[in-house]
Amino acid sequence: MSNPDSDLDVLIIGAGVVGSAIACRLSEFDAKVAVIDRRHDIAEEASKSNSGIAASGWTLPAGSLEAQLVCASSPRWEDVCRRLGVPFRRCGTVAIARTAEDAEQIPQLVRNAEANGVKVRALTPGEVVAVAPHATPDSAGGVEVPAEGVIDSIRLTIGYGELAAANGVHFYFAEPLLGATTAGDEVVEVRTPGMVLRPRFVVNAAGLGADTVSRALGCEDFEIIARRGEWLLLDREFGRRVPRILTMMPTERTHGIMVIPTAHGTCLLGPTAEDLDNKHDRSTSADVLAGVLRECRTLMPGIDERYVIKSFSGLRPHSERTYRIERSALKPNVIQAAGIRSTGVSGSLGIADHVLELLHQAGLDRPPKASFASGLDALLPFSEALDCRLAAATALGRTVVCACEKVTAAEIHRSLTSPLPARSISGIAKRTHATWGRCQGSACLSGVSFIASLYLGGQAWELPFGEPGSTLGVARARNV
Amino acid sequence: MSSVVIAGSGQRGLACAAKLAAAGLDVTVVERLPHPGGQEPEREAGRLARDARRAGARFVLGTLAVQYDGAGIDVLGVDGTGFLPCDALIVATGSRPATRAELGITGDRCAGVVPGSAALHLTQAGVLLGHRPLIAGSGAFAIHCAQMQLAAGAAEVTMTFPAGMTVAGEVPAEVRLFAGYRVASVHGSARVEVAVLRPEVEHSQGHGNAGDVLEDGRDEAQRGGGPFRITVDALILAADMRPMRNIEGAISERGGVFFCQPCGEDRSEQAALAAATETCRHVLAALRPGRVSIRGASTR
Repeated sequence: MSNPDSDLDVLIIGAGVVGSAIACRLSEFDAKVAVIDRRHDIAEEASKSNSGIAASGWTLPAGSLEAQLVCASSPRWEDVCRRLGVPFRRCGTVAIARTAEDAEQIPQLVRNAEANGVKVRALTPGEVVAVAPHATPDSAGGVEVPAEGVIDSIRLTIGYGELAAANGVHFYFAEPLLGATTAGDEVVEVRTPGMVLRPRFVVNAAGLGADTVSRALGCEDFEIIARRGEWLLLDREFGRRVPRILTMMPTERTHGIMVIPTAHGTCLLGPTAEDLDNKHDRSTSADVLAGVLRECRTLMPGIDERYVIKSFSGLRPHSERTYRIERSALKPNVIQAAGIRSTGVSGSLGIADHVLELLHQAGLDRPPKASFASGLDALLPFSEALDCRLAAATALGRTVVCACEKVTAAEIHRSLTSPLPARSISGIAKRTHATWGRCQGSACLSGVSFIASLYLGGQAWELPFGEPGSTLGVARARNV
Repeated sequence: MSSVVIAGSGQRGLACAAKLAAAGLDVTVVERLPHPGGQEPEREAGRLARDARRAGARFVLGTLAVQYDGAGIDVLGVDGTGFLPCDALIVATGSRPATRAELGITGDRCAGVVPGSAALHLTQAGVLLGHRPLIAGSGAFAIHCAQMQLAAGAAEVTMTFPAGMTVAGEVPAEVRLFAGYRVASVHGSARVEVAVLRPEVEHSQGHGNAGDVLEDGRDEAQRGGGPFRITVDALILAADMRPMRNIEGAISERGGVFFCQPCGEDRSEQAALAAATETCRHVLAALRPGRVSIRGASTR
């Protein structure tokens, strides 16, 4: 990779939802900003496999920074998602008390929500099924939270990244932080395999890797633990029976298992919460997934496992202290944006504003950009278009590649030519959902691979699914 | 005149089209690909398509049936978007191998786990999927996958299938067989490296993990009927053929929708014609009540 002009105003480490939201916010200013990430694409870790809930913040400790930033983000989703072309639906949540003991918590939770400025309503068991007909009739009551929504968190992250890139921010992938040089109490130089960068300010938004990055920068010593959550994804045919998010009564540790309608009409069940010794193990297991089904059926009876189209797991960055968003005490030109465990998506807009403020306080003084583009020239996917004729205006837009998710060749073309283009088959899937439907690529994987090879070059068998080494095949086939 | 839309133009779709058009219905066949025939050999499809055309069926090619709303289907294709009103929709979109989730395969989501149908196309396009591929399945389709991988240059091909399944045809002598097992999980960082095979009886105890699993399953005596790992670099899913359904609103049974899709492995023209005859009887009974006598009123 060619070395960019290495003097930067701000270097952001981590291209997840937090780093990308910050990049997007900073791209409004006449500043030189770059993002580096160790993975091959944007949104490759926690931002890729989370609940997709745009939370209202009703359960967060009142007065906490997390509550403040999530609550500041929540009312803005309609506007932001329209500008970035991101599927979003404010479907509301019903939290269900499964026992009388659960129900005792309701008044306290309602008070907490009110302290956070979130409108909620305590429900009797009868009201629970009136508001959420799919919920269990055997509840001991519940709480309705109309402000909660569901969002395509991968597309949100990519939308932030594309808007940032369109406004001049450079993204460098497969460039892990190798080391940093300090002068006095400032970080002055950052090294990756391909680059030496000299930033005035560094933002640590490295998610699961934020502890390693912090130490490499000579900043605070803290630990990030990977908390694994296993998920089941169910077909739209089932998803249409799930109008609202169903959750258990939240505890201090976790929101527990949830039944979540997705922004695409499918349904997610999960997540579990298991702290791991390493930060790589994204495996699933039959026992745990069976437990997810069992728990979800206490919220919604009649969940039919025949509708499961995929199981997967995600790792969320858990730490002792949540929302460590501050100027580093050891290296004041470093802003920490770490320990954002489960509300990274929900808080991303507020976090980006907060980090901008911290950068201003630290001395970043660039003026707003005259030519800032506030929205993406996004192609509306056929499956999301209100007027399908518009989406089908071109020959590529009339050629369906993935029949399950109704993804056209135009959408795949855009994913490979956008300001932040896909570089792998999973990169195409993240941007378009091709191969992610109910047949899981049995009809379209070969077609998607063929199109990808036209854009990405190289031999067809070498096409990457994701990270380096995850090739489609192992060698060229003999003629068959 | 009652109108019928048939989604898919394989053996079943074409046979339905010919019969219903001959019975005087207004028949439109919607095919995703630019030519009729589905997965069938070209000559056969040509003959069936000619019969259907001669009987009066219309073809809308290069067009996907997107959504059924009870009164007709939305389509998207070479001619743009459209709506085809219909009194009945026949879903004849063929079959596909069961997915990883449907087979209950847990573990890592690594590369190298490929649906059999995609595997065949990719191999034909010059992609060797693995030097040591594992093929899940025992039907004609799985055997075809195994033959293709050997022909494409795979060093060692393994097939595995659950107890009670029999091999539907001649397996090449080079293929290693593990009968009576299911693939419980796959593991690997970038690409799949290991598959855990588990005997069906153990499954009922609910273990899907690679816990106390034999390291190498080559020695039959060592396995002793328990789970074991094998080293693989691809897993080709070719088991348990299921109906391919991707028309929103016509995924599950509902009024006006008739499914005519292969169930299981019998892909013969005879089976296809029998299924098409049965479907047409149901369609005619629904659209012209009283004029056709049928036994049983299932929409299948």
